Amino acid sequence: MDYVTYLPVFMILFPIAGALFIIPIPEQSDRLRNPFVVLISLVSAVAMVIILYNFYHFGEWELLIHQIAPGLEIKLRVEPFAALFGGTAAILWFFSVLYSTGYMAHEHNRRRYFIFYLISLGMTMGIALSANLLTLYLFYEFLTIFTYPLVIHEGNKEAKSAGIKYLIYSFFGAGLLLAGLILTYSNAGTLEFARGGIVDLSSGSPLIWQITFACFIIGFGVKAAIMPLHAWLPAAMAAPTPVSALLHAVAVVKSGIFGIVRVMYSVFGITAMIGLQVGFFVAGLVSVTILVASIIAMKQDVLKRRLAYSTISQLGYITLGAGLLNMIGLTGGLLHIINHALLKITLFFCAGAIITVTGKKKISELNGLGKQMPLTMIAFTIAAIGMIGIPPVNGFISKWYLIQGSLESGAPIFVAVLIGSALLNAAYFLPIVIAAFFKEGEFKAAKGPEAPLSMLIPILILVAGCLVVGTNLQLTVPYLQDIAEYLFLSGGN
Amino acid sequence: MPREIMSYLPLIAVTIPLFTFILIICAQNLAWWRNSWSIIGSAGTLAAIAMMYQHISQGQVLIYQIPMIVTPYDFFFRVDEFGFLIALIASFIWLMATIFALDYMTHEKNQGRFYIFYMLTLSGVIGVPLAGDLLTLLIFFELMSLASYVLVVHTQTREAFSAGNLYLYLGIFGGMCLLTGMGLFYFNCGSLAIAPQACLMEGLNSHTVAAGLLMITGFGIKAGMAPLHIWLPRAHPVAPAPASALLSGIMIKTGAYGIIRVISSIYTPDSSALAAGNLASGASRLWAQLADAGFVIIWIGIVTMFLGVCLALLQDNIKKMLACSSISQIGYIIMGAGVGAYLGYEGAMGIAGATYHIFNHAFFKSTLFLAAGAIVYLTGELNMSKLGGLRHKMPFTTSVVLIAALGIVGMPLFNGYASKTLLHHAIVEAYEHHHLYSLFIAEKIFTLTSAGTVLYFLKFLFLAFWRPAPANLVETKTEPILMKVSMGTLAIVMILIGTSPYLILDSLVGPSLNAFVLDSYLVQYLMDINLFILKDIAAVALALGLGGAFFYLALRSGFFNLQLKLPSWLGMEFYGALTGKLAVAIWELITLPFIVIQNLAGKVFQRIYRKLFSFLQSVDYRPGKKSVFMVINISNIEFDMLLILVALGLILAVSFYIRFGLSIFGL
Repeated sequence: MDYVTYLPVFMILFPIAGALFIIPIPEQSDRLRNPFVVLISLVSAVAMVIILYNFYHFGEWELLIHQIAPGLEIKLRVEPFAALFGGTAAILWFFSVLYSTGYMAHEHNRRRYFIFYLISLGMTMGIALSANLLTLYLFYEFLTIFTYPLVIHEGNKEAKSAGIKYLIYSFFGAGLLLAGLILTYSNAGTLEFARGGIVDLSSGSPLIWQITFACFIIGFGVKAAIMPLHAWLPAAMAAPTPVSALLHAVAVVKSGIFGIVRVMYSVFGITAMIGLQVGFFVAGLVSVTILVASIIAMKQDVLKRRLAYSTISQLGYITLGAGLLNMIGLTGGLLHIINHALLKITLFFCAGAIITVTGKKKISELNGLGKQMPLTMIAFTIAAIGMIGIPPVNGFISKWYLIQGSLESGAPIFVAVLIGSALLNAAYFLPIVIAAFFKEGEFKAAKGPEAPLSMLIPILILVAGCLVVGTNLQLTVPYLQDIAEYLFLSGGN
Repeated sequence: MPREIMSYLPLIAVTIPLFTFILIICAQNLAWWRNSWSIIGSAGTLAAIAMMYQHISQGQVLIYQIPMIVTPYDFFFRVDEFGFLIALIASFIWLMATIFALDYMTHEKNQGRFYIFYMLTLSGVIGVPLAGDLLTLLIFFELMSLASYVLVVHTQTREAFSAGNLYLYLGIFGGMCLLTGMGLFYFNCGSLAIAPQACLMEGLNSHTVAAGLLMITGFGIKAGMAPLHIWLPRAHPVAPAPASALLSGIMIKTGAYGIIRVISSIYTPDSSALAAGNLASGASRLWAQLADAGFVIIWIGIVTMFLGVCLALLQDNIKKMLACSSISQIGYIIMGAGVGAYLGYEGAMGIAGATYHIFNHAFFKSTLFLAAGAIVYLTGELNMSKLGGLRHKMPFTTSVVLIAALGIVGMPLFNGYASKTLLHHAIVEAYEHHHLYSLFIAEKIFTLTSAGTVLYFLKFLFLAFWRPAPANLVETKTEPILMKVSMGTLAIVMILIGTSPYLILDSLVGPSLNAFVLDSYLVQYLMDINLFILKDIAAVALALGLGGAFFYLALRSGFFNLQLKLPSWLGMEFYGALTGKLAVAIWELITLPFIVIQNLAGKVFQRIYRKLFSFLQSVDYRPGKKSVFMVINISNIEFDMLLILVALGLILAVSFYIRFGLSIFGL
């Protein structure tokens, strides 16, 4: 596995090289650019699969790229949690690039769009594969920078103000991260991720550690859209739909989640977290997020904004699972990374298809859409059912584990939060489905019955994925349990 | 012979409807194919279930499991005698309703959609009694809830939507209650099997009590249990007749099935522990707790049955009356289940009565709904006050309705008699157990309810069939042949059941008691019971006489001509809406300060950042341009954007390096 050793670097550099490669292609030459873009993302996805394959057969490996100073290294490592996030993102990236080629066909500045879309892939891979906090921080910042042009793509006033909001929130979070980083380094002497954590409570006062922890949680919490810091996410829905779908449901927001879980389990470790009593702090914080975001979602009339608030709420599930500080809860949270990614990307793709075909953005205008776009709306329905957490779609299984985890942690109140959120989910998703299928309405300005194939195919594949993952649990649950165990137990056992 | 035997039959029984579901999707606009597939699907399911009888009759239990499909544990089927009985009547009545639907649905729109979801619902309904653990049961239960929504709103009228919404959201609420209950239960017992659990032997703790309550609530919503019945009188009548027949005849029984399973199969001591003579400490505590729960459930049942009768008396619409009657009858079943729990080890009579009544009610209520469908199909009218003289116009339907009505009022030799008698025995036994005065009253209410049932059926028969037809009633043709076939078959089966109660008792209801932990002596007593003794007939005669007398009085006093409407503040929905409004008001009051703060903070932040940007403007690397962020509005820039970003990255990296470098050297 010689060449495989360097695949993590390849994962980061190849999309960037690909992006540079498509710079010379003129704006109008879509027929030349689109195959290239799809190919680049496909190669990245395949490379990720090769990494996963090697990882499951030969175990983890790491790769030192550059040593800034002793103890400060830029280093990549392939290990279970990295494989989870990287694999999910890289594979879904391929589908959303495919979808983008269809969606962007009538948009302006396609070249710029695809350049940054690909670079973001490289940055996300950097986050996923990072072996220490420094590398994570670096790529996390780069991700903010390189997704900014995507957020303001429309170029109108709304998009620009959304972009400003996005930058301000993100840099605020990044500043806190930096503070946390410095505090960690000065107290623990290393930034390396390790099983069971690097924090030793005997060095440094608990208060300092608690402050450090809060810095990290709030810093990453900006991207994970924990409640008082969520406002950039609904605003960022001004971006084109594939961006909302991939970045604002999978890559960017999950990088925040990824950071939180990393900090909790690889930096602080379970022992330190129990010692500092911060688990319930996190769980309580996100419980509020889960419920309040769901309630706000009910009031939204713009479909993408409703989905954005739903994302905020669902991201809370993952953080809640991590904050419960037990293995079952963590398994549920990690399961929800995959499940929510699949479900929400499907929902956003459907929303994008609706916009492309009918030009309607508001839920109140969707009456009778089920007759116009049956396949899209069936996909939407299935994903919505999954979001509520009704079997056999995949959202159910993560909810089951989260409930078990909440009980395990001795706080049944979180069960009430989860169930309450499920009911709210039903209350804001099902009216869309009912309106689309059972209400009467006409679409005069519609361009054809369904979205173009390059959009429809990803939707159908992903919704099939939701059902397959939801019904064949041996595909996910055992691996996720292993990952949770890996994160949970310290290196010795 | 081993008690448990592996068999594919349960899997086949739930996959046949799923398979035809897919086939009907492909053929949804081809009438002939669609109808054939529906019949084949229903008949195939019935056949698959009937084939289980060869094992069930020998006292075997069919199991089948697939690991990690949908549930994280096993996707588990376990068919015992009780589950088999429910699945059998469900699939039989489904077939009859399908035959009826072929003619009935011709005057509805969207037939393709109807049959698609009809089959999907069948899969869920069949899956519930065949499921072997709680999570598998939940999956089928949710499938049934969601798929049947489409049947409820089929007509797409305003009324249908409002009923459908209530149905859907209460259904989802029920499903979530079940999920929570099952989660709690699994957490405490580490098992989801529908069997007595060792962890309950020491008595219940707060978790297991909560789990039981949540599960009973979840199932109770589907069953139409008293305070949660509000969806039922609205949702059942708006569906097309075959669907309402199934909703009332079959689907609410899955709720009753669930309640019986929870209180009599799970929350009960293990038979092996009892055999070991371990009745002493733990188990007896569980029995006592179970008895307390049973007492509550008896009263819930009594309230449900009485409330249902009162509501049914007020209805003018035939289907609404039948739906309210379903509430009342489900009250009988819940009461029976409650007696089963109350008497615990000696509760054979209660469970047998409930099971038998599930069986009977499925037949007569679906027949009545189908007959109501026939009436509306031919006359276009459902209100009794506008109907009349149907005995001359629709003699076939009249005789079918008469048979079903005689069954539901409990006339001897018709099919409701045996089950009502058993239930009456059960409530008397419950009273005699501790001689609680309240149960004495319960028994009186039971009789009164039976009299009420007689009353509203006499009203129905008189107004719709007996009295001379009003002048403006349209001329009717005769019923289509397939409607006659399905109603006729049901009527004949009902007569057979009614005239041979011992056969049903010996071959179906009696064996179903094997699924529970019961005193074998009492089970034997039940099997040898003589149903036609004077005392029982006298009890029925009392109810019939009372009902007749009430009817005479009501007819004389003109009670039926009064269009009675309950004031809105008596209904649950009124309080529901009130609570909702109150909650919204409180929520807005709480959030008001936050919104104010949020807006203020937003304004302040915006101002700060404006200032910041105008500062940045002054340090812009290109004079004359407005601001950094305006520059990055890239409608005009292609490559220099990249330069800026790289520069930004470098600045970040350098500043970062400097800050770190300092901390490394301890500065």
